[in-house]
Amino acid sequence: MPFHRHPIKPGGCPRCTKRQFLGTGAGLIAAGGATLLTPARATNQAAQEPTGATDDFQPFPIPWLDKNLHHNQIPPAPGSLQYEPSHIYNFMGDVGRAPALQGQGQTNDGRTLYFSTGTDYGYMRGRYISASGDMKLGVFTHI
Amino acid sequence: MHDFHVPISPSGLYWTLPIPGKSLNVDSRGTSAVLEVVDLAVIDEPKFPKPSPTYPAVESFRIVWEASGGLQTFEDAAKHYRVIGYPAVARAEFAVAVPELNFAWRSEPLETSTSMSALLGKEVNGYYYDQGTEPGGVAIPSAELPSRHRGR
Repeated sequence: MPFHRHPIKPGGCPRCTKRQFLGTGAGLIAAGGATLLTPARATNQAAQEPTGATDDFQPFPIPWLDKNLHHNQIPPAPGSLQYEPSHIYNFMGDVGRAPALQGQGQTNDGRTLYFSTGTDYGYMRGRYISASGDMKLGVFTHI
Repeated sequence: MHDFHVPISPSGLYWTLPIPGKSLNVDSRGTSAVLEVVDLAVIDEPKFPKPSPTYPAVESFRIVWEASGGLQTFEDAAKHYRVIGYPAVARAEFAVAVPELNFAWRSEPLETSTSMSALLGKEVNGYYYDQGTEPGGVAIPSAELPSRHRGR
């Protein structure tokens, strides 16, 4: 089976995120997006912040960068559907993607902070091949 | 700045995590979906993408997709994926709390948010694409509790 394991590249990438943070000068907020961290850091973080699944149960990420050097694929133009919406590879099932959300909200001390067009949420539900090489069922979100 | 996500997994999967099936509801026609997760454990990485301390945080979110156009099929043989999906309007509301920073934030209601681009549908990629599986033929299994079944 042509499984693809795609480790995080040491040193990261020139453009580590598709998120853009805009605000009122006081700051902004974001949830959902893409990044690259060094493998050591990623491993340490994963150990400290378990997500509820062992690595063997987890799927593979999409194994290549898009033209903007993002690991999570994004639309080539606003409104375009010509991109890979899933965040996991060797997958079949339902998929939803909202990679360009924007809005605003209030902090607990009364400030207005914005979330910007890089705010990216998605879902994947169906069959996938896990890191262990087994076929599994699962529901995932990208935040 | 605040940036909320989950850690990258050892497999390289980034900012993607398993959630309970009940968190996602896709309508039977596949033209709308609601994703709702409450009190998800995440991290706040305020100086992302620069290396910086991270803080434990919780996030709740509700994202709604509504198809806004006709069904489209697109694929990329070089990248081994095929999608049958609808262009959509997506809206979001979410809230976060970072106890260590005494920081909390809550978005305005769902209706006030906007999206420049969104879609929902079905996809095959990687191995399943190579096997010639059609996205429209993908069946999502469901196991219904007896009590729910009797109620219908």
